[in-house]
Amino acid sequence: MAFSLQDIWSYSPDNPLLFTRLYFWVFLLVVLLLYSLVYKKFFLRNLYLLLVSYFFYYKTGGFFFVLLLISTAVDFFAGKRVYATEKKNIKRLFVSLSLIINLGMLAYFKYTFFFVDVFNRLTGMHIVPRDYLAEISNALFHSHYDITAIFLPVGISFYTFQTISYTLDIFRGKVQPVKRFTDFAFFVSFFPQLVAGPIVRAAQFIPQLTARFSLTKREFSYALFLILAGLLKKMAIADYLAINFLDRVFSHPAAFTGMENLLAVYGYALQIYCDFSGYTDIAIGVALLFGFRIPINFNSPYKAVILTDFWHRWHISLSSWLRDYLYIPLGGNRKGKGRMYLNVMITMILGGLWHGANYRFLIWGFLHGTGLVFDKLLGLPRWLKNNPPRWQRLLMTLFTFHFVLFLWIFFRSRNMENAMAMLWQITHHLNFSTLLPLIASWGVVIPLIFLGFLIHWLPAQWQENIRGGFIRLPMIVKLLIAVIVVFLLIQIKGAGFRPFIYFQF
Amino acid sequence: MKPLKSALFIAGVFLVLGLSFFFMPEEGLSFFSYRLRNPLPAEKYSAWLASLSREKIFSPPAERTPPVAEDTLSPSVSLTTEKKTVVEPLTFSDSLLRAVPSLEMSDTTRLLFYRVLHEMDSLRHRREHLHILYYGDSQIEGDRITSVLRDTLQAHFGGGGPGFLLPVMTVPFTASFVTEPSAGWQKINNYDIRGGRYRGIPFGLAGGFSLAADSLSAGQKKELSCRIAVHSFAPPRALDFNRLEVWLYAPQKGPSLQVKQGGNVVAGPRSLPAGELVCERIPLQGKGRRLRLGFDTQAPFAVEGIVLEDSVGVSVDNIPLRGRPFMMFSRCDAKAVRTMYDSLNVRMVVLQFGLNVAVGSMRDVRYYRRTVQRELHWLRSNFPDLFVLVVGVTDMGGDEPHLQEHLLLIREEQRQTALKEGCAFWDAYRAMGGAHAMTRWAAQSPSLARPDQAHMSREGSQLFAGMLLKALMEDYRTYSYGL
Repeated sequence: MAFSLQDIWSYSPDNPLLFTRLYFWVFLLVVLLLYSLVYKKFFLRNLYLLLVSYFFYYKTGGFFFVLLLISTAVDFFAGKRVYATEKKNIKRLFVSLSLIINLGMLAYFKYTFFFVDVFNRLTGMHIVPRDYLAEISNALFHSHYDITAIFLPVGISFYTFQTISYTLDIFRGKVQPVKRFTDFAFFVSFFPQLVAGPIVRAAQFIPQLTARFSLTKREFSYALFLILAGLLKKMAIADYLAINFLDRVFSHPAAFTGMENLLAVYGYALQIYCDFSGYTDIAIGVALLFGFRIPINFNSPYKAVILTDFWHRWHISLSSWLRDYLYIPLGGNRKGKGRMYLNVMITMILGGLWHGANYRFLIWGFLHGTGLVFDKLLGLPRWLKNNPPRWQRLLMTLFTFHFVLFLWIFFRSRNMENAMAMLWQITHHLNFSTLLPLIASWGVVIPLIFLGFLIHWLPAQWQENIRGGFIRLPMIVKLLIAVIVVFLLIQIKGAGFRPFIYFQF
Repeated sequence: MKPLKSALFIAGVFLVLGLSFFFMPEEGLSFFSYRLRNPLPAEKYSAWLASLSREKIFSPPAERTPPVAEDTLSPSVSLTTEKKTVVEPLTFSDSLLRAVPSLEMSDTTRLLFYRVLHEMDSLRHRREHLHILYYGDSQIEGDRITSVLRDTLQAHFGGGGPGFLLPVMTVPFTASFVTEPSAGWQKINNYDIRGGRYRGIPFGLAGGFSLAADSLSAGQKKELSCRIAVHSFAPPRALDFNRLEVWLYAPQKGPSLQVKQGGNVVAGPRSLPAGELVCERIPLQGKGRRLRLGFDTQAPFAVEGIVLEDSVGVSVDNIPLRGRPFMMFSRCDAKAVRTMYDSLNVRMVVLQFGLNVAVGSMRDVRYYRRTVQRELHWLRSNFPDLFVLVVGVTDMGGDEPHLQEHLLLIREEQRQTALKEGCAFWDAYRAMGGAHAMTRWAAQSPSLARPDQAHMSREGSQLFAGMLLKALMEDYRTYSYGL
């Protein structure tokens, strides 16, 4: 429990500042206390939150925050130049500059090994990638970074997309550039959503930079509800399932029965949802405590009737970003059906690769793209708009859910061999008579998966009633509920910590 | 609502939580069969663990040594080859811990190990217990190595209590407990007895038992007792037991058993059946660390084992066999061993022998392979799902001719046989620092070896346990992080 001063201020890869750690909530308490001194002055407020966010990023990602500064500076100035000039070519030049620098950084840190691997396979060469930045640092500063590995800076996939969207929106005339560098830097680095989204658009956030602080009691209660629900999702469901069941099975699928493998696939679908949406819930709740509204990122995705519907509900900020800045610029559905299908495939494959430089993500994106193309070929979006009978919707929901479930195998498996081993176990060693003994032997794991999905599939109105009921409670009761939830989470929490899944993307 | 109010709300949550933990007992609160833990008290670790902190043990792994390919295992032993592989002596202290060799095993054996790790990981939520049996020669006597392994594993995976013991032990005063049998008990082991039984009494998992009232004539009655006291200075979790198991076999007439804990009767007297291996399981509610097992009998009977444990978690059981080259599984009663293994949920067996062969002749050493092979084969064929780890012979000092040569050959016999029989092997000789390591261990302050330079001192045993733990946990971390 005891922290030294160095622990508090310095970066430690073993102790990042995460929502699931006590340190974060003490940090939040101190930040809120000081925030109460500056929240009425726009400039001071934004500057203060910028510094706090940089400190948060430094504690989470170390000196990679220099990259965050580079990305911020590039798009701040590119945005200004794009807005200032009337000449299309100059505008395009600065947009290109933003794209090259941001995507270049992303490509270098995320895809170097993958591209070199593909190149080596195609040409038969044996090029070994090196981290030239680490090499330069070692030469200049006598540091001792490993030059044979390139580490992915935390959150780079999120904040580069955020800054790119800013410049592109100015180019399209949707927003005006931010006047102060500190304000823009704050928009890029606002700590609740900095490392794992949601990817906030400038049009949504920039107007809030000059808006008065406002937080009603209802909003505070809503924020509290989101924070507690997010912590429960992450720690009581996602982490518990991962530690006690899923990591084991996905690491060595051949050592488990077909039924255990099948249950692990269901479990992972719940884990990744609870992990990521839990993070987003906490991020939205914490941002709201500072008076900032960031958009939702999930809308009960496993209730989706068709795959198109799923992508309107899952990681909404990324799917809408890909739609607006990739799919539509590629031509969208404006250039004929064939081109539309191609655009869908390109968008989904690149969306898959956004998650990581691996063939598994490529396959995952490709199959999702294929699913979306089939959706369109069969006219399912139109069918859904025509309000089909309930039984048809239910059947399609089940089908879509299981299609998504199948693709999670490729997403989660350590490698293709493991994915294939898992599919082999499920298809060749599935014995339903083992279900009951497995339920008995795995303790609360399997009932927890069942309960998780049950809550997920509750009618929206019921979920709204629960939320509304919590919001209406007296403040003292809310405090007691918060204490009970945290107390339970402390009991459940295992040794060590588990970072959020989307940190690695 | 102002930010200050939000901050005060969070501070309020901290305050109420802090107060609840402050007033909560350090050992937590029982809630039905669950225990609500208090996170405030710091974990207690002995000094040795400071250099091998829990974070280091359970943190993500470094690169793992490649698995042993099953088809490349050579059945023959080459001493000349072995000589070339003798590692350079290591400098002492920290470098020893850094240079701990990994477990050697095939991928198939590793899967077995992962299965055990998986079960250990899920013990708490499955509310089950699991036993690791640690057999060895006099090197493991006194629970010196096993008490450290047990406490550390229990800290991580749950569990408590000193585990398995017998009323009559060669060393009754161990690092965790002391046993005090009354008159009328004797120790019987299966070293020289074939057929798995002695006067109709089966040899169970310990390869021996404590025989009571052997001299009793027909019509006579006898009262016997065995006192067990867990030390107050024992590793912290040795005191956390809530269950007693007494394994007993009476060929003619069963005795009656009464159990007292801290002077209070907690069970019995109750008569136990004869003609079958009986496990009397007694829940212990109190906190008393002193137990008295009282027996009234009219005929001889044998206690095959006593287990003091927490009903949930892991137990590492110390089964020392002084002077023996190996555990004689093949002279046990397979049915009795199976009954005990199944009931105790024995999932892993560690075997540490070899010292008693090293001081013998070369003929003894060459014959040793057959013994090890026979016993491992018996174990693996009777319990194919069991993970078996052979801990190689440790170094020893002394000026016997060919001692180092014998040690190297024994180690190689153990390694080759273990891998061939689908077991894992850990090179303790190399871990200690190679040839003449024990002499260097003896030169440390405090000395890590006993004056005979064959056995480790208490501090040496703790260091040794730390090294073995590090090797085991290397695989655990690889397993946990799915790398």
